[in-house]
Amino acid sequence: MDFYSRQAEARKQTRWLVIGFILALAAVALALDAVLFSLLESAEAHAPLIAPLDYASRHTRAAFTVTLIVLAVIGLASLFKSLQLRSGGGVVARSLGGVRVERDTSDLKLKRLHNVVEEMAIASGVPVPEIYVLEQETAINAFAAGHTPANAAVTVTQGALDRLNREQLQGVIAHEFSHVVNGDMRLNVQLMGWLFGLLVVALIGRTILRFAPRGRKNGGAILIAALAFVVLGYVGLLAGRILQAAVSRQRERLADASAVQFTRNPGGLKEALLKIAGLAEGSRLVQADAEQVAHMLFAPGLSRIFATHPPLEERIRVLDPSFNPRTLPRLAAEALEEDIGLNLNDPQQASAAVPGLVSVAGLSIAADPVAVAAQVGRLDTVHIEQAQALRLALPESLRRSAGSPDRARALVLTLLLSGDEPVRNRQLTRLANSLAPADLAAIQQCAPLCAQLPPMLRLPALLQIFPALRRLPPQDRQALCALADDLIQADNRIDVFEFCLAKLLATLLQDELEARAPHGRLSATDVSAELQVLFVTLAQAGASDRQQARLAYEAGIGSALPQRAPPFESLEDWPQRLGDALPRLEKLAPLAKKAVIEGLVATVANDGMLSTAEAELLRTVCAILHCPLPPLLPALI
Amino acid sequence: MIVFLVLLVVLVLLFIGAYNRLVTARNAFKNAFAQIDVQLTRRYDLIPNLVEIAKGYMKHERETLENVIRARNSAVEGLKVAASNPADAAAVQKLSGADAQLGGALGRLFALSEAYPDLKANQNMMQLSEELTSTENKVSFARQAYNDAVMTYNNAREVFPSSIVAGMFGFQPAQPLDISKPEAREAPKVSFG
Repeated sequence: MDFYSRQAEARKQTRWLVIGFILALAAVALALDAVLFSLLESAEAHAPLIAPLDYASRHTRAAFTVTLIVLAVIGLASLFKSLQLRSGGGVVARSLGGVRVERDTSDLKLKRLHNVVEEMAIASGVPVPEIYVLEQETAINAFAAGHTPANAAVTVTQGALDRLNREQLQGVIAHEFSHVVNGDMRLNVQLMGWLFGLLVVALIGRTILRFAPRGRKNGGAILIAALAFVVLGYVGLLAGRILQAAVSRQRERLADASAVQFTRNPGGLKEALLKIAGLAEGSRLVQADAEQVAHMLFAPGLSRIFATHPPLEERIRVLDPSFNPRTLPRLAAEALEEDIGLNLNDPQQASAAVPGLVSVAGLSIAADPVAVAAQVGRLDTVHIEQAQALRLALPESLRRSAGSPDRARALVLTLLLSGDEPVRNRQLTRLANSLAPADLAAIQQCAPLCAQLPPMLRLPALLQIFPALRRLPPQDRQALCALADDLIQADNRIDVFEFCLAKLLATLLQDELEARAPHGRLSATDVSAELQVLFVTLAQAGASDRQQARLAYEAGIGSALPQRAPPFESLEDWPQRLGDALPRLEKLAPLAKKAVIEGLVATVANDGMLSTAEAELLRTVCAILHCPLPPLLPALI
Repeated sequence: MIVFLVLLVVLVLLFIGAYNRLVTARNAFKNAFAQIDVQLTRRYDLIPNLVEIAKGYMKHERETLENVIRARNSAVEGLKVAASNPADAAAVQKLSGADAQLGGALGRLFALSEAYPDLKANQNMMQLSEELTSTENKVSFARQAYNDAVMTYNNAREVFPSSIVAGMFGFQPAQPLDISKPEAREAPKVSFG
């Protein structure tokens, strides 16, 4: 069968299944009618009678009204659910943690993705949809969401981006475009609406069962009616689920066939499926709430009985009739071997990319005479305009070096190595004890390059690689935090950078594990002691003497605590005190946080200079308070 | 009487539906044709940048580079002539010949570039070759989408009952793009790992 006839076949099957779905709905409505009529009849005859037709023939009008009410309940409920699900594709993609890919991205992989999507838009004749990437998903998967082609969004996982070559990615994207073109999203929303209608029937029955008046006249009849609602609702729901899954499988067959139509290349799609078969994590998504998009995914995201996708083997065989399921393990292993050709986890690439970062950053400092002037006074202080230039210089080069979690981990640890020889040796011994030789080698490679990284760029560089770190499994993340603490303790003192790094690691890598609320309800006066610690620390970090620090402190604290600002006092043990203060500050109400951060900016800007320590502290505090950097600042830091 | 009226309404609705389907299909294939134009132009715009970067590395391949530029210029000329009158079959034929020559010249350039690892590792070169690959694909997908759209349109035009509507309003049959030379369709193989 060629792809045109496969498409026709899948469309025909879908039509029958949808008719079946409608019939199932009608059957549920009829059965409800039958129960209700029987009860009404027996109430009239004062004897238990099962004669729904007798009742309907004698009270046509009442029967008609009852039927209408039943249908209205199901109909309104499905309408409600459909409207709720009707959000644009971008909303769905973002709710699953998707990051938007822009047209002018400079990352080669993202650029390739964007190009492939544009190609498929041309091949299938629909507008180019929004594109998202799930950066934390290492499995190979993709989905299309949205109600119409105009508001559709195509999302792929980082795993698909990393592991598929151009042709394979094209096959996967073409598959998703079929869902867009054939209106599968709309169909699915419709089916989910109907299922919800049946669920509401069952829920009404359950509610009546719980609150029904017992022992009164007609009490028994009401209970029987409620029970009928529950049973029929759930039976209908079960049948509906099975039909919905069957529809979904047909749409997948249609999408596979359409992908061949769009690309005229069954090979790419076939190889992508083989890779999924060969990969341990396959197509499984980490995010649990993927159910909402299960029907639009490229390959099943959840393993369960009500499969939304045909089995992989069957899909591969359709694309390549000569395929023998027994050879699947071997072919899958071969497909994965190709990853090596795609430079995955290649240490050489890491070392090739990092020099780019350093040279770009180094250039922008040397080229700016203002920076040279500023460096005369204090080596790690820069003018605010120059910080702007630094920021522009950084992200692009770093994104390249921070592709894989392992490389990102090596970079974090390298940044913590001390410049002082004895301390450094002690740190290296500790690393050697707890790391694999390969990781140690990666650190040795990064070391000379990290040493050249200007201090001002260390923390921004770190924040760039956090998305990659988040892809580490939870136990590795905890091990990394512990190891970092170990390195920090090696010289028995904590500097600002070390403090910030440890706090950021602990907060950003662990808060999604704990799922805490990002904000609390405390007001600024509840935490005035903690605010004092915070502002003093920041003021000291930017000032050279006590007098200057006091002025900077007073410039900012008034914004956070306008009524009763605590006086300035020097702090020697700030790492301890600030560490204790931050968890309480996190519980501030959102508006109070805004005032605090405005105050912090005033403190930092008091002397018109931005020291590295100031910038690092400010960034860290913002991240820990779950606040974005204030509008004035992203340009600066 | 009522039966007759209902039948009339149904017939009118069917008629309107058939007409609208035909117009939609016709617009779809016309738009698909415009896409081919856009993508070819984009392809020709990319090539000077590519040669500019390659020049820095491939000092001894002057002739190849000049060939690429020459083929590109004649393809641009061909596109200008063909775009001004798409119905002129000879002009379209000439364009596709020039485009095929350009494809061949590019293919040689890429084959030679295998010997220059520095060039292959150049970020701009990687970006550009990705762009070129994508544009090649877009050209062929646009052609394919055009032919698909033509098929859909011709199907709608010829099947009963919409063939009656098509006949009444003079919907002309559309010609799919005929690729006479297979190499005209062949994109130059770009492989940068």
